[in-house]
Amino acid sequence: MFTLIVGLVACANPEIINDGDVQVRVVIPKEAATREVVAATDEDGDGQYTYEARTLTDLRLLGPVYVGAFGGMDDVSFPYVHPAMGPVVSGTVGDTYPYGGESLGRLDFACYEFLACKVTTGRFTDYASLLDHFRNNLGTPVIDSYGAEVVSEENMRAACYEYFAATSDEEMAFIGEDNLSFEEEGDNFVADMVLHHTNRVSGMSIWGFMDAPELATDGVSSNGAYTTCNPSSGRSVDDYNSEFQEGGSSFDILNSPSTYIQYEDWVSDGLAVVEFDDEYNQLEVPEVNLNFHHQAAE
Amino acid sequence: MLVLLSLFAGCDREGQLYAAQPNPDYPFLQDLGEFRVISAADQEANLVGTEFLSYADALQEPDDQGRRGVHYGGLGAPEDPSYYGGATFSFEGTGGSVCLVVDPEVVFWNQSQDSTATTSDYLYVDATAPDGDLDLDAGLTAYYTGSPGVEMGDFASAYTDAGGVDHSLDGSACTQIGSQNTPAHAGRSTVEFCTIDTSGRAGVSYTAVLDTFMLPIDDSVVHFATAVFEGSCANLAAGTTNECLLSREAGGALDLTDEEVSEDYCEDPDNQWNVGCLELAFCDTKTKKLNAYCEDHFDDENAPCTDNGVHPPADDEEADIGP
Repeated sequence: MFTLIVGLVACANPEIINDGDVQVRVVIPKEAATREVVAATDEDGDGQYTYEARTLTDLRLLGPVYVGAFGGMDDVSFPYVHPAMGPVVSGTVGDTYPYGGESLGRLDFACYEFLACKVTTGRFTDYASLLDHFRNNLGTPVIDSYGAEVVSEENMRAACYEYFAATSDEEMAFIGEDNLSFEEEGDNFVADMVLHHTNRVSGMSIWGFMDAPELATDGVSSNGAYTTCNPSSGRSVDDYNSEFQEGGSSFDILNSPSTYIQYEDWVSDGLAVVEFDDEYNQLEVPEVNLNFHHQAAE
Repeated sequence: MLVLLSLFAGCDREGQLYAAQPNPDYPFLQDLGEFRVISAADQEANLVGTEFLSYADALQEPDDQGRRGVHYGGLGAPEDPSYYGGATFSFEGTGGSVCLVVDPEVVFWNQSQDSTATTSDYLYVDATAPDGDLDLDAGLTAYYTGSPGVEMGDFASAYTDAGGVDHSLDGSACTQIGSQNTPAHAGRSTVEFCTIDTSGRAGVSYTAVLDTFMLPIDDSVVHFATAVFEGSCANLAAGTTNECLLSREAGGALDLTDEEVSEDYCEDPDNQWNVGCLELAFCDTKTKKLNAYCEDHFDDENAPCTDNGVHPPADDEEADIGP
C-alpha cells in the first residue's frame, strides 16, 4: 500500500512544462491588401509590354505575416511598436529574444528562378491564380528558364512536376484552395494560428508584422520581392541553363525585426497579451491587430 | 603468492609525472597590465626578410606609458588543481581592427607532420613534453566577469527581459572559427589569434584573457608569447599568424643568443636539441632550412627528422628532441 501511494505521488505531477503551443488570432485590415497595382499587357506578342495601373484589394497582395511572443514591447526606438530588445553586444540592433513564433504563409520556391523570393504559401488557389497575380497585379509576367513568358497553368504544372519530380498538385505547397491563410471578416482578413513550442510566460506580448511585397508602378523589375527572403539561402540549383539559389526565409526575422520591416509593411500595435494559469493553460486567445501602416513621411 | 604480489607492485605507478606542480616563479594567475597596440609602422620596422623579430627589445620594452608590446612569460600550476589559471591584460581600442595573438610553447614543427605535406617535408619528430595550451578570449573590459590577477572570468552575462526571463549574452569579441565552421579554440600549443573590430570604440578598454588549458608535463609551466597588433590578422606586416609570428616562446629560448640558435648549436650533441634553434630553422623560409638540415644530418643519432618515404631516413627514427 505504501508503495502504491508513493507511486501515485510520483505520477501526480503531470508533465507541466512551459514549452507549448499558443493560440492567437491575427487580424489585418483589408487596407493592407489594397495597393496600386500594375498590369502588364503584350497585345501583339512581341515581348514589349504596356503597363496600366489601378487600385485593387487582393488577398494575394499580403506577404508572409510573422508573429512572435515576446517579454515586452518598445514603442520608442522605432516609428512602429517593436519588441523590447536586449543589450547591444555585437554592434547591431539588440536581439528581441522571442519566446517563440510562427508565420502565416511562408516563403516558398515556385518552380521558376524568376519566382525565387517572390512567392508566399497560403495566397494562391492554383497556378492560374499565381500567373495572373504576377502579370496583372505586379506587372511582371512569370518567365521560364528560357526567357519565355509562362502563359498557361498547364505549362507551369509541367515545369513544377519536372522540377520537384512531383506527381500531383497537392505536393505544391504554394497553391491550394484549402491552404489559404486568411478569411474575410468585415473590413479585415483574419486567421487563427498556433505558435508552436513557445516558452509560455503569463503576460507575454504577441506581436507581428506583414512583409508586404515590393510593388512599384513606375519600374516593375523588383515587384513581388520580399525583404524577409534571403536570396542566398535555399537549395542551390545548377542544371543545364539554370544556375541559381531558390532563396529562403532569413533566420533571424523575429530576433531582429527592424532589420526587415520596410515602408509599406504593416505592423501590429503590440497590445495583444496572453495569460496562462499555473498549469500553462491558455486563458484566452489574443487578437493580434496588424493595424499600423509603416509609410515614408510625406 | 609473493611473486604475484611483487608483480603487482611492479605494475603500480604514481602518475606523478602528469600532475602539474606549482612553481613560485610562475604564478597560476597573472594580470599582465596594459599592452600597447603594436602599430603597423613598428611591425614593418621589425621585419627582416620574412622573419618578424617579435623578440626584439624595442617590441618587448614598455612605452612611456608603461604599456607592454610583445610579452614573453609563463603560467604555472595552482596549489589547488580545482582553480582555473590564466593571465589577463588590457589594451585600448584603436577605432579600427586589431589582431590579438597568443603563442603557447611549442609544437611549431608539428605542422609539418600534416599528412598532406609528407611528400615535401620530413616528418619531424614531435616532442610533447614541453607542450602547453592556452585558450584566447577577449572583449570589452566592462563585460569581463573575472578579477584580473585574482580570479579568471569570461564575457558571459545574462539579460532579464520584461517578462522576467533570463537570456544568456556572450560579450566576447574574439571569435575563432574551427574546421567545422563553428567557434573553437586551436589544439595543443597551436597559436591562437582573432581580429577584434574596435570601430567606434577608440580609447575604450578591452581585456584579453589567456585561459590555461594544459600545462606541459616537463616543467608544469606553459611559456608563451602574446601581443596585440594594429590591423586585422589577415593583413599583418609579417604576412602570417602562424607559429613563426611570435617566435622563441618556448621556455629558455628567449635567452638564447643568436649564436646559440645557430645550426652549430642545433647539432651539438652536448647541448641536445633545443627548440629555439629548431624553431628558427623551421621558420626560416618555410621549413626549407629545416629540411636542408635533415638532409645534412640524417645520419646523426639524435636527428629530429624521420623518413617520409622521399627523404633519406634518419638512423634513429625513435630519436627524441627537447630538453
